[in-house]
Amino acid sequence: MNERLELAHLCNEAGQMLLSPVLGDPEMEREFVRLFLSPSGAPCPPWQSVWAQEGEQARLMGAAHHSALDWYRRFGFAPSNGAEPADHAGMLLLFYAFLLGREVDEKSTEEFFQQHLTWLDRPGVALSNHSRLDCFRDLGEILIQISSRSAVLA
Amino acid sequence: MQLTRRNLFRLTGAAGLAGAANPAAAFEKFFRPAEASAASVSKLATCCGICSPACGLQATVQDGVVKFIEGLPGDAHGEGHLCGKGAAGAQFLYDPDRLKYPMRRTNPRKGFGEDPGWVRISWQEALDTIAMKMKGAIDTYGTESLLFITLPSPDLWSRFMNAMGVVNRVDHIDVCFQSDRVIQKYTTGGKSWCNDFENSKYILLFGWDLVAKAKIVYANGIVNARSNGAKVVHFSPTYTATSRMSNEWFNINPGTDLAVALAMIQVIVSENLYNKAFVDAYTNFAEWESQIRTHFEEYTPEWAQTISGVPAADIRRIAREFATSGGGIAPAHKKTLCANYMNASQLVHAISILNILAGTVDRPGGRYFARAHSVPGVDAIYPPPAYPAKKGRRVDGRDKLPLVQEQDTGLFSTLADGMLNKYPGMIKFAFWNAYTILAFPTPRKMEQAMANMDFTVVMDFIPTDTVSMADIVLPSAMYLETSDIVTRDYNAKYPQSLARSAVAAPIFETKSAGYVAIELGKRLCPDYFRLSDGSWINPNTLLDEKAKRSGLGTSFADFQSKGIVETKAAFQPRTSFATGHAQNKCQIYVPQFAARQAEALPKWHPKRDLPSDQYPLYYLTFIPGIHKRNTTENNRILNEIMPTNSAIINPALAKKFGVREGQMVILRSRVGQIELPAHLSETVRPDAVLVAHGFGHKSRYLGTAGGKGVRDGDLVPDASIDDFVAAGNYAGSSCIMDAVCSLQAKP
Repeated sequence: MNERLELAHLCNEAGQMLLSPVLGDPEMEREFVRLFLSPSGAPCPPWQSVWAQEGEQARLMGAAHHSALDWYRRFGFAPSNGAEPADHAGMLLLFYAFLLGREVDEKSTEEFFQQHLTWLDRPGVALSNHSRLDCFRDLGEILIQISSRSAVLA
Repeated sequence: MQLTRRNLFRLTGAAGLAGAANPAAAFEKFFRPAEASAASVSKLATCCGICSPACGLQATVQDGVVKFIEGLPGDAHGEGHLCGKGAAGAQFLYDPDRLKYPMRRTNPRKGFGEDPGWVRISWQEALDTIAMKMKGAIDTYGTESLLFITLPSPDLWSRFMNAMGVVNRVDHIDVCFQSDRVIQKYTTGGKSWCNDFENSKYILLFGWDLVAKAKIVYANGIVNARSNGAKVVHFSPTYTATSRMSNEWFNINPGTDLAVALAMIQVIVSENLYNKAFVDAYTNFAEWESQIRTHFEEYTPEWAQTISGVPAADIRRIAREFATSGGGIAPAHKKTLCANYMNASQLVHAISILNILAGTVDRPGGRYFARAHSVPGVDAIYPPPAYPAKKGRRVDGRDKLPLVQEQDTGLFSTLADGMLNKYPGMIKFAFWNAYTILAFPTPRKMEQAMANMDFTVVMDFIPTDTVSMADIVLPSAMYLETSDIVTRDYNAKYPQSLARSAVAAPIFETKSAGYVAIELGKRLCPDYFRLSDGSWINPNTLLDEKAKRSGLGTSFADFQSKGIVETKAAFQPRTSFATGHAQNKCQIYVPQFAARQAEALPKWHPKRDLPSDQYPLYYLTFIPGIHKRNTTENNRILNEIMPTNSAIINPALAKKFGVREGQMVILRSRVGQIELPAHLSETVRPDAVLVAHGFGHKSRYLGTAGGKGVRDGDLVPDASIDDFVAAGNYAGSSCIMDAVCSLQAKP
């Protein structure tokens, strides 16, 4: 498998882990909610618009949401769940994996990466710092590495 | 750590991801094919839901996301404008802290310092659990063990509570306008929000800063009144935006407005300056004339001056001007003095008498009753089986105040005392809907009262302080995400109705209170939610029926397409007032009050807490125009404008205590203390401290408002129902500003 596909798999799996509520393991379930969704102030909200850039206001469904929708539309897709923001880190990673897997032109793939994945180091650091479980700490490390595409592929 | 894909696979395996190794399956789960198209942008009309006038607005919506909100041209309330809160509405929708999914607590220990251990649950599990806990509480402890802290709306929600026989439902009306509602019922025939300022000749304002309170319909009314030549007189212990808009402002001693109002009645009655034609034809003055004249004799302007600090000559002059202006109005409203002092019941009665004597009840220039379309509620459309009798004790003691007992509300101000002292342990199940602890006059006491609750449900749109006590959290949809029919009731000389339309779909898994009512109804009282054909009540069909039966459209969609429906007709003043009087007249002397252990005519009562050597300063609070009570502080735009509160004091007072601008000060009352920075302003009397309400959210869950400022209520003494009875507070006015304090510069 070439490096490009390997990265696609990595993004795919990280994306799924960010998107799927953890079922069956009470400890992981609690930790997933605490880190990402908690009404008690989640330290790692998974939406790009919430991790506002300098000069932007942190919010849900901000500019990154619309930009992500545009990207999905351009390739003939829309989020299955329209009630949720399109700039969820997991959605962005799955879509990036799709672009990598389809061998879409390099320019578009790179453009999407620059617009929608470079911010992942911030929730990545937050995950690494706040997680009480190794698996989510590791996921944080992976996000940091994906954000700079320095993941070491085995 | 060196990461490999193999490592990650182990992690995802640990997380229980099905199909992690199948990228295509994952992609198909979260994406669907869609036609490539350009982003859609549209402008949609609806109305605001932040406060009750429901100003018309239009939202610019891009791909289902509200991008911009502005006033709706041609709307009678906002006149094409919105207040700051209304304009910042999109930020409420997309607040990152917004509650998103139903959650269940796994850590039984509650409190601000505890990690609740939330787990995400389905709506079904949430509703099943709530229904089971409610049923368990009823079966074991009776219906009186349920507490619903919620407004009675929407009508589906009311139907559910009625079907369950809920005894203890409380809302914030007593800290707003309950006194006005109780008094108007028997003096003029009902509470009204309509003030015809535009046609007024003379506007008397007791305490109410209605220009800055950001109800545009009222602020515009005052501006238009001034343009039309009306005179505005404002009695207020702080110099406000309304004071600036007034012809005359009187720096009245806090809590003494009643004395001035009584003295004005004395002048008008003793000098026979009242509107004789109206008073003779439409009031019970003649029946009780002797009692009325005798009762007010002692309340001379000179007497009122000694109490209020307002010069007797001015009181006399203003009374004469007001009565003979040919269009005098004295509005009464909320969270101003009408609600804030122990003597507010009497004050609101006195204000009502002034309006009656001016002869402007339901007349041009006065307080009038809304002309509105008749929109049937759910019970009229789908008549329910007979509701069960409400059995059990009122935890807030409302039954001790017969006039309040007639109202279907409750008492925020005495609830904590009831839960802690009168009936400790009686409440086992609490359902909070869109209220936070800060809303209570004494939030500290409510915290204590809620600490050991068996089961608490919180439904809200953001994680307020109350969430820290919740066992289950339900995420609530907001006004921009829901649809309804809104009848105009502030500027309503002829019927007007607006469509409230969902301009955006509810985000995440947020739902409305109507949905919760139906779903809990199916589980607990199905006969009230099942129709004759066996189907369940459907909120969309219900809305269609409302539109049809009120003549607003052939369906709700048809009504929506019209936006506003107006039935223009000439204003016909009422000649009959449903006050309980045998001939349907307005009542100055209210025999029904006397029959219910209340005063038939208002007597002078001082406010509860008066300055002393230990606490020499009046403690005044206010709601900033840029915020709505305690619900908007987490809005990032509004928070940027006003992020926190301070102790606003006069420079002379600051000098006396050696306090500089921005220096921390300690305020103490007989029940607590708060620390906050001083802000020096000439707008406050030198014998008072002014603190904004709405700040001091403890919840660390609120990313913007959490931990900023202090709670004004932490200085307010507790109230019990016995205090109210003893003080003659028969309309149950809360005492959210009835406090005094000391000040000390923090070393």
